[in-house]
Amino acid sequence: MIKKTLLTTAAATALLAASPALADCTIKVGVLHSLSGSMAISETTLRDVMLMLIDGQNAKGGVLGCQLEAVVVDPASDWPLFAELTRQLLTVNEVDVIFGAWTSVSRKSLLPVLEELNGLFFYPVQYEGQESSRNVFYTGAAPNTQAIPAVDYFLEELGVESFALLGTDYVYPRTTNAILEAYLLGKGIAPEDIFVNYTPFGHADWSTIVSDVVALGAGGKQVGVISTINGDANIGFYTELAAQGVSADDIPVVAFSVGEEELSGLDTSRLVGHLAAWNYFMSLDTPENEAFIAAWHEFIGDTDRVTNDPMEAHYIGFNMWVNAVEAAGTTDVDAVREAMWGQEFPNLSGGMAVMNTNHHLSKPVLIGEIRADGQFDIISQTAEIPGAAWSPFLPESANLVSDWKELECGMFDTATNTCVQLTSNY
Amino acid sequence: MLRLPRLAAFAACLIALACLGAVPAAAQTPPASESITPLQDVLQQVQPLVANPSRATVAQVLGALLEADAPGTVAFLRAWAEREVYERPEDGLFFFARDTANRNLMLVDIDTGAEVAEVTSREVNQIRPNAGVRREIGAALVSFELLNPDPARRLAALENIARSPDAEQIEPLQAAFAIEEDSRISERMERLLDLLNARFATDTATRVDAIDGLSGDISTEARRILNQILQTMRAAVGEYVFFDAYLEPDPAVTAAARASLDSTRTAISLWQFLSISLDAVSLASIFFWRRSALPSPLG
Repeated sequence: MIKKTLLTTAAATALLAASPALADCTIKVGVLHSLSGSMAISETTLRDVMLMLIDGQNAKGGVLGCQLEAVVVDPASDWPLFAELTRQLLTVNEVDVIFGAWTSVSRKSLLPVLEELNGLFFYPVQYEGQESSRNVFYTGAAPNTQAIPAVDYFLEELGVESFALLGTDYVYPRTTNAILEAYLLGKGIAPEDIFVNYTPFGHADWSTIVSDVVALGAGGKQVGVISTINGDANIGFYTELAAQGVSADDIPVVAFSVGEEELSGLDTSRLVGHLAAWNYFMSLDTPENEAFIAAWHEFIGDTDRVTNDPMEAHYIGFNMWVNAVEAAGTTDVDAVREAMWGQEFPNLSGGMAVMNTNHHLSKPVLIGEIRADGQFDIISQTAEIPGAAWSPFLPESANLVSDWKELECGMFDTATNTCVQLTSNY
Repeated sequence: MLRLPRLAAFAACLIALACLGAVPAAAQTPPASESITPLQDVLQQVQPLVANPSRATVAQVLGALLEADAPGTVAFLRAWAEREVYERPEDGLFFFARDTANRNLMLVDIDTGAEVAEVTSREVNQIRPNAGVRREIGAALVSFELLNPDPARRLAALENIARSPDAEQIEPLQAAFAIEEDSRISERMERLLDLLNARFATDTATRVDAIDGLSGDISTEARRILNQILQTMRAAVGEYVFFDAYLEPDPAVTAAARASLDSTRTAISLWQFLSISLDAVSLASIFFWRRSALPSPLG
């Protein structure tokens, strides 16, 4: 009976592919971004950019001759709800692909459901790595394409000697800081020159922590802050920096989760010179970016709205998915994920993004300084770097690689030559 | 408009700047009079280091520029730091630029000031030195800025010194202090001289005087300097004996720093004591008020 169902599905898919003129063949795209709660500041825009991309694709005739239909749900910054809504999207709405999530805790929450139901998921935000699910394509940066180059910049260009690692208390900041701590110790930074602090989501009172960071400089060393603070807690943090007159010349702050969208509600005149590391900035002067911004402004009906890195990640991921579906001739998850390997699509910084078989992208690393107008001056841009799923700086992952094509494994131990596990319940 | 003492002091600062970095052999340029583009000539000899500036290599550029001493060097350095210099990829030449009415850029020759060509922003690379590079250029420009006729520029130069204190700054700062007429600025100069001398002066008497001058100063910048002087290393002697040895070898200096820091701490402690005392008074008054207002449980 199962066999029969499969055959029927295959036949139906073949029929759809062969008859693009048939109108009744809607392809459903799940959009799973928080539209309320502490992460709405960052995620609402990603819902909007998905709607723009889907509209644009439909105007071009859809995919495989079928129109795309967005199925939007609101997980409300509530991590277990991400898992529940993933189940709903896959079993009730029967979507063909999901684009969504921002925080790693939300991604970790939905992973078991996604893998159990063999869904296809595009995750657009920079994250801590240490993961490579067969069902997820990671279109944001891994630590080697964001955090590590930013720390190198602090060490080599700004001469930072004492590091304050400030983060929101969840898996992304904790894992990233563990990697960065190991990396800094390896670079000869003493343990007493690494100050780590975690605060809850939505944390508002930053005066003591900012004072503590300023006091680190009383010893005469150049202090720098690496911020993995997420969501609306950033408003209080940057407001306090400005209130205490912490200029980027005194104590530079580089953030990994703050971009144009998060700054758009702030007076950035007193934050000039603080930094962010991303793979995209709105200020990129390329024809591709100009067209993207124009399309965004037309869609959203407001020329003051900004663009940012996770929006570019969705832009790349969505277009790769469209091309992979066209190449596979079907939306079938297993066929599409194989067609995803090696997909190339022009990124908005002028180069070519490539999806590697570890499900991570090759992208350039950019470092930008905040300007008074809330945009970034790009002061450093690398060539495309392949994102690494596993960090070589942590002993537990030093021998791990991911390769779903050749090794058919996302967590392969090169020391023992074995696949540690196929699911992501680590 | 620069007065003579300012010029003399600037000459001294140029000499100091020339020591900033080793001048590469390639940077030996013909005398400025032989070329109509002396500034462009010297920049082309360190072209990649100007186009892609880095903290590790900026000293080579500064050294080459000051060795060549072409007209317009200071204006170029300021424009470079302010990200107002552009590179044309096809020939690697550097230009200043101004915006045109139709949102293009008019390239301007860095030697002659002549308009060269109108281009789009994508036809040239804007050079954006990072904060580390700008700090180095800024330090080199500090001496010049300390003598600028504009008081706001002189104050900004003092803030630069406070941020990255350096032994090289003492001499130009002293020269500027000697002729400073604005009392607000000269007060700030005197304090910075104390901070610099406390840390970098070579003779003990000057350092002790400067450290005494910082006594009771509770600002972070003063405490930072005092703490640096008192930095210790822990040495193990024999098997079980440990002792703290100051990295600063001059006992007169460490004693003065210790005394100044202690008096600073006394000042901080006095404030803390006052604050706790007020808390105590406040608590006591609540206590007595409750005693008088409420009936005693025994009574």
